[in-house]
This record gives sequence, structure tokens and C-alpha cells, in this order.
Amino acid sequence: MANIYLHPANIFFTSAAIGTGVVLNNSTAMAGVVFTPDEDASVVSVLWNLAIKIGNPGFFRVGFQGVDLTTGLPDGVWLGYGDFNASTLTGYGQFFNLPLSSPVNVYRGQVICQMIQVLSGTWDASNSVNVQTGANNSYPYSGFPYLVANTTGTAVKVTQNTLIYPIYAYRSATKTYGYPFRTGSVANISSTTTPDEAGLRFTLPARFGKKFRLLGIHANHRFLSGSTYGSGCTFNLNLYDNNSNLLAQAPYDSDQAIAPFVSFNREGIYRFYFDEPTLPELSFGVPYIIAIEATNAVNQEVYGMSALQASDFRALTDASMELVTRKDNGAWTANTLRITQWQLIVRDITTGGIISVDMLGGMTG
Amino acid sequence: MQSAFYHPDSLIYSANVITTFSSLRLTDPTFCFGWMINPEEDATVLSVLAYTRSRSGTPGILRIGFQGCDPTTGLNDGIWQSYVDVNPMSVTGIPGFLTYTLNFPQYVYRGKTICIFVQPMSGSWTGANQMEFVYGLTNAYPSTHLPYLIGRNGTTGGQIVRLTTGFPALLYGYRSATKTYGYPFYPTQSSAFNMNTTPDEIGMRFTLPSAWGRTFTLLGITANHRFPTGGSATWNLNLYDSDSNLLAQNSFDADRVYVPVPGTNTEGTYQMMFDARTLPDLTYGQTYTVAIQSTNTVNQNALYLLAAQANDYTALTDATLEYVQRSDLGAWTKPSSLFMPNWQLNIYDTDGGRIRYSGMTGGMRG
Repeated sequence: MANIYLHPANIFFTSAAIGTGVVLNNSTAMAGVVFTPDEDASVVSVLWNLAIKIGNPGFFRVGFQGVDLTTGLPDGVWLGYGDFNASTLTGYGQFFNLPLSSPVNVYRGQVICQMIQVLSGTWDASNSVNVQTGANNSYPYSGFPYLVANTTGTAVKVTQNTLIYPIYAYRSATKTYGYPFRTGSVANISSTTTPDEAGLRFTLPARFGKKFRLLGIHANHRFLSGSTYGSGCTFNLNLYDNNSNLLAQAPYDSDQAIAPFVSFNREGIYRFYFDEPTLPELSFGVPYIIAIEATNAVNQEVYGMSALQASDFRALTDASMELVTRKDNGAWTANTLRITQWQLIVRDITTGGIISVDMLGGMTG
Repeated sequence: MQSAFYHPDSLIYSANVITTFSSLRLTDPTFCFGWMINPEEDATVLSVLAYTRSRSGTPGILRIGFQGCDPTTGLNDGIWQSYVDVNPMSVTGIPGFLTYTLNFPQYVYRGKTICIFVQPMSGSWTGANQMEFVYGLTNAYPSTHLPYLIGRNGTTGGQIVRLTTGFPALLYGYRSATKTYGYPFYPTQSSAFNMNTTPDEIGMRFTLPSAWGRTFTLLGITANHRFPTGGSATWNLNLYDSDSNLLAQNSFDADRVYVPVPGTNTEGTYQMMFDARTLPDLTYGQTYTVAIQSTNTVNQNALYLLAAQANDYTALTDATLEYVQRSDLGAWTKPSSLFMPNWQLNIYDTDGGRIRYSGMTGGMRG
């Protein structure tokens, strides 16, 4: 779309929030993601989603290895690592921030593998850890980055399903990279529930421009009614200023969309636009709220992403974003560890003006 | 990626452009289909674009146009708002994205769901007298549920229904007098190329509008690309200025990517980054070329889009994005203005705090 961009640019969408993982259940088990960093960084920790622990497995090692030029598999040489006792970690079912014993410098354009590998102790069917390394039936799927694993004694590229979005992440002292987010419903709403409205409070940085219009959202969303396909679910797409004054609104009905089969691929991917002939001019650097407000009693789920810490969302965006919910047009409740699984559809209308109010770079034009 | 954006940001990536088109053969007078769309902006529509894949025999008259969306069923409401009646025997250019000019303009509005509908009207429509339309690409992303497909075919029990299987990425389009909307592009692949073929290098020559900013760096590309024999192909990712001076280069080896199973899902989506510690500052409004240059004798194929006319790329971008190729570092050629590589530029805007538009046509409003 001309003059329009989606933000965050790099978000992935699911059809059933189905994770795919590698079970570390033998003495040589390993999982990894081969990727290229998008910028140079001094990595102090890696993040893995450790979904399930069974029994009392031993130690595992996380870190980085190089990638063999011929096989495309990790080359066996640790560039940096940290060792952890799987049995003493608590809180399985989420991302863990796993510090390295010393920082690892990674470089844009370098081909490198972030790994988790069994190190010592008992690892078998009764003593294992399930690592979520990707999301099935999701997009963007990828041929690079790609997954590697060792579950049978031999390391291989994971090839059984091309529709995989690899999930990996790491942190420098100041920033997070990759995709350290769990996806799922962040609000189950209808007109009779609390909350009945859920959305995203966002501030696009002032240096992005001066003025823009928000055309709508590109959203992962679930309609839940019925035994087959969600139907009869209605809502308003609302845009507010930070004082909750309504700036734009468009009504929607799931009868005028496709709701995937509710017992399987339940989430859909929807472009919801505002329908006013003239949309309000918004300012970069100023907070707004865009929200879905249920307008009947039929259930729907707002989809979103959860992070370990709010700053992890910097892996996606320089914008400030947080989940907000409310009931009956009351006060908003914010959750800084969650955002909606939506892309803002932004039309930049800055042309001709000063892009940054504080003129950080000076008058070079 | 912070401060980074992909452009164009609404590309469709496929897993196999050879085998995964979703199409409907109108082999029965009751068969029909439609794209239920939610326009991104108001427009006065003059024509509809539909990929017309095949025709056989002497099918009757076909109607293509716009109908409303029933608010309860989500189906077409049966009322033609505008249309054109087409005699298939007079259609030329099959297969291809063809332009069907409406009898009178159709107004569409942002956020108001409307249906582009295709339906036989009269004459013979049978297995021997049919037209076939491609409406989407399966095993591709993004799939979508608004916009969505409706239709009546041999599996819908005689009813028009919302089509709820497959969820292809949708291929449709419409034009106003100045601009094209939708995704009226047919993805396909280049001839196999390697270091000994002509060409041995395929690229995107691009000019990002000066209105977008002042300077940027190109981190790399996200490319739909094919390695027909699996691994072992090698290539350089090259960035050139408009005089073909090399500005940045990184080398790649298909052994260090995941190549989907050749013959089935052969295309992958690959993020190829430059590795220079300091990337060159590029300028909006200037022309550059980013290219994949084969560096051994193993074949690879570039994926690209094919449009009915060059201006249709206004549906994707305000930038100029051209398919170019060359051999042995010779002169670049542009095989067709209708081609565009199926690549996204990974851009890091380095403009922060500076004057956005070199012409300052908007004045000092800050």
C-alpha cells in the first residue's frame, strides 16, 4: 500500500497458537535456531521458552555456536554459554532469561546459532524439558532463519514442516532481539464481561515523523461462537486520544468476515479499517488508544503477546505499546507486559514539515 | 527491528508458485465466486483485475463487477452496483491478469465491505466450455480472513458460501484512474541461473521517494527464492549505486539456509543481511540496485511478480522497484517493466531529527 506502513513491521500471526518444540530427553539432545543478527550486539543472555519439565533432568547449556559451512549445523564450538540445572529452575511454561557466563559479540550478517543443549545428569523420557522453538501454521515462515535439532543422536535441520516461525531471543545490556513472546488470548470479551473492551495504548516516536493517520489495524483475532464457525459477534473498532475521547469508530460483525473452524484453526487475520470519510490527524510522540469494544453478548478473544519484561518489546518496536482493558467506558487498566497482536496501519502525512520536534540532527537539509 | 521497516510491507510469499494456485473453473452456469474486500481508502473504480488462467470451448457471457455485502450472511447481496458483461471469446491475453473495464464507475469506501463478484450470466458453461480464474495462492502468506472469499462450486451444496478451507493469500485487484489496489500480481520464477548462465545476476533497482526522508541504510533483503537442487548454491548479495559501483557485499551458501523439499515446497523465505560493519548512507530519491549474483555453477531461481501494467505496482509502493539482470558485471538490462523481484528491502531509517523533505515544499511547520 502506497505511503502506508504496518507497525510493528515484524510481527507473526498464528492460526491456532500451536507451538512446535524439541523435547530434550536424551544425553545428546539439542535445539537451536540459525540466524543472522540485524545489528551488532554484545549479548549477555539468551531467552528460551521452556514449556514443560518432566521429572528431574540434569544440567543444560545455552549459548551460541558458529555454523558449519557445509552442513549448516552448529559447528560444536561454543562462543559463549551459560549452564543451568533444569531441576532447580521454576516457572516452566514461559520464557526464561538465561545469562551467559561472559558476553558474546554478535555481528550483523554473521551466520550464528543460538542453542540449548543437554549437558549432564539424567535426561530420558521421564526426565526432560520441552523447548518451544517455533510456531506451527504461522507466518512469516522462514527458510532463513531456520531450526536445527538433535533428538535421535544426529543433529539435523528441522525439515518436517515449512510453515514454522522460529522463536529465539537474546538480550544485550540495553536491548532485546528476536521474538521472546508468548502468544495467546489476552482478553476474552463480550458486552457482558469485564472487561468488555481491550486495546493497545501506543506512542509512535516523535522522530518517526510529525503527523499521521491511523487507517486501522491488521489483527490476529478469535471469534468463538457456535460449534463450527464463529458468527454473530459484533464490535466497534475505536480510536481514542489519551483522555479517552473518541476520535474514530467503525462497527464490525463477524458475519462479514471468515471465522476459522472454532475447534482447530480459530484465529483469523483481519484488516479492520475505520470508515469515516476523514480520519483525524494524529501526532507522532503523542499517546493514543486503539481498541476493540464488544457490542453484543457473543464471545471473542483479543489476541496478544506476553513478554518477560516490558523492554523486551523493543525487539519489535521503538514505539511505546501496552495492553489496556476497561469495562463500560470506565478507566483503563494497563498491562505493560502485554501488547495486542496487531499491526497499526499507518499513513504518514508528515511530508514537507520538520520530522523531529527537537531537531536532533540539525538543519542539514 | 527498531527504526527499521520492510518495503513493500504487504508482499505475498509462497512455498511453491508452480503448484499452489487456488482457482475456480466455471464449468457450471451456477458456479461463481467473489472477493469480499474492505477497501483501504475511498476510490472511484474504473476496472477490475482478475487472473484469467484458461478458457476452453465457447463459454457464454460472464459478468464481473461489484455487489454489496449482506450484513447477516457475509455473502454478496445479489445486487449489481456496477459490472461489465464479458464475452469470453473476445478476451485476449489468457493466461494473465486481465483488465475488465466496468460499464460505469464504482465508488468504494475505506472500511465499507464490498464484493468483487464473478458470475456466468448466459450461454453454455460446462467442462468443455469454461473459463478459469485464479483467486488466491495456497501455501502462502499472509492468508487472510478479512478480506475473504465466497463462492459456489461443486463442493458447496449448491449454495454460495464463505469459503472456509485453504485460506489462500488473495490475488485480486481494481483500478481507479490513477492508482491500483489489491494484489494483482502473478508470482513466478526466473529461469535457473548460475555463474555460467546469462544472466548470472538478478536484482532490484530501487528508488525510495525523497518524500520519505533523507538518508537510510539498507540492512539487506527478505527474499522469496528457490534452490531447485537443494543446498550448495552460492551467491553474493550486492549493493550498487546507480553507476554500478559496489557499495556493500555479503556472501551466502545454501548449505547454511533451510531449503524446503525440492519438487514440493521449493521456495523459501530468506533474510539476507549485509555484514559490513558500517553500511553506506543511502539517500532517498536516489537510485540503487541490490542484487543476487551467483558465484558457482549450482542453479537457483529468483522469484518475481508479474503485473498487467507497471502502474499496478502503485498497489504496493510509491517507490520505483524494478527487476534488472546482467551477466559478467556487464550492463544492467530490464527485461520488462512488468516484473518486480519478490523481495522486501530491509531499511533502517537514519534520518532522525533532520529535514524530511529536501524540497521543503511543505514549509517549516515544526
